[in-house]
Amino acid sequence: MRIESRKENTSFRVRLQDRMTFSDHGQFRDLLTEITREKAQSAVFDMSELVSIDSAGLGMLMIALEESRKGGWALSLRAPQGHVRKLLELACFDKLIPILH
Amino acid sequence: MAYPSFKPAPPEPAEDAFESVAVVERRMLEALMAELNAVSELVEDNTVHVSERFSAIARDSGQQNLRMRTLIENSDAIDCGGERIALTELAGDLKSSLGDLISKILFLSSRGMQMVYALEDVLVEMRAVKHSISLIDKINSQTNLLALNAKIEAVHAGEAGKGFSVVANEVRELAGNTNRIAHDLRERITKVTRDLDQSFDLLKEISTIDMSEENILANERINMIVEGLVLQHQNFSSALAQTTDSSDRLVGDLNEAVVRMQFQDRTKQKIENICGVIAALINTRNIPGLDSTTMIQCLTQPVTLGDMKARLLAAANNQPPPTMEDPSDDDNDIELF
Repeated sequence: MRIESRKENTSFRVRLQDRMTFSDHGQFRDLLTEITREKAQSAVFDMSELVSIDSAGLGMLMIALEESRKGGWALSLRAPQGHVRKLLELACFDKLIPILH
Repeated sequence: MAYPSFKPAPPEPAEDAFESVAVVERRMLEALMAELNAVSELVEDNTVHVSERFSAIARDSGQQNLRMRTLIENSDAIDCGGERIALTELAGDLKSSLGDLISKILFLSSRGMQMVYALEDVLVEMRAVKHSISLIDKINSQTNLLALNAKIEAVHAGEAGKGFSVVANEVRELAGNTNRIAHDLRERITKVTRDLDQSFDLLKEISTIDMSEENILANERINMIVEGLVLQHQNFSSALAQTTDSSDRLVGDLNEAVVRMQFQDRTKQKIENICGVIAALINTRNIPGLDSTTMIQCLTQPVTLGDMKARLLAAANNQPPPTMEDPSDDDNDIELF
């Protein structure tokens, strides 16, 4: 997975691309650490270019949610597509994390 | 109902051509009466038989309808561990169950990933411990070297350095002990690190339980199957309901037919009346000097059916026939069987 992030004022814009799998846990953790360290108030994960996600990837999103609650910043997902969107619906993610379309 | 009995006259010798015609005419009328009676019995026998068959068919159709209604009532739900679940709710239930399952997998995955992060932290600490042990090794090596140098210097110092030589030996021994402990620690840390790596791999397996497209397709397929089942049930119920309606109409028609057949009794009464008139006709031929009014009275006397009597009287008096009434509406004393 490729991760691109940039800070805009107190918000983080994160683009997730390609496939989100277990092997991405290292860089994903670094991302969460950076968001917390920068004392961001919110972060939007743009998932429009993410083509697939496995359960480890979903688990990482859950960890991001827990980190956001601990760190006091708001997490939201944006425009999941195809397989990713169906899997998020199936796992009822919309009840946990706001999903922007 | 019995029609007036007819007593055939004894055979008469044919005295002339007129008498001979009269005898043939009488015999033919008697034969016609016998034929009419046979027809009446035939109609009665067959009508009773057909009526019984129709009643049996109507009864069977009624039972069949009850079974079909039971089938319709039972087919809109399935028994699931003693609980009745409507087919229309089945799709929602299955989807909900699958959603619960996926939520649990997700919970496991997220906890697994947290464990992965925790293990990574432990591994970082382990690497730090290993580094510390390397530092201890280095210090030990230097301590050992210092002790050796001290020993050499003590030998050079002679008698004055004897005490110092003992201390140098003690220091070397301490460095050796420290070295053994550091070695033991390194071995243990290496083992712990190896075990942690194995745990890391196991967690990776747990955290990456396949939730890829196959699972989504499975979910969609379950939905399609259940929707198909519901649709099939609706079609099935609709067809059964139509069949039940048809059977209801069939039962109604059969019962109507059975009721109509009961009017066969009226046919029998008419034939009996006709036979009575024929018998009277034969008898009146033997009464000399009979006027027409008396003859008409004699001939219509055996007729018990009012409408028939009216028609016969009109015909005998050369009058137009009275207006016909619906036989089923008149109030003649027809006894239905």
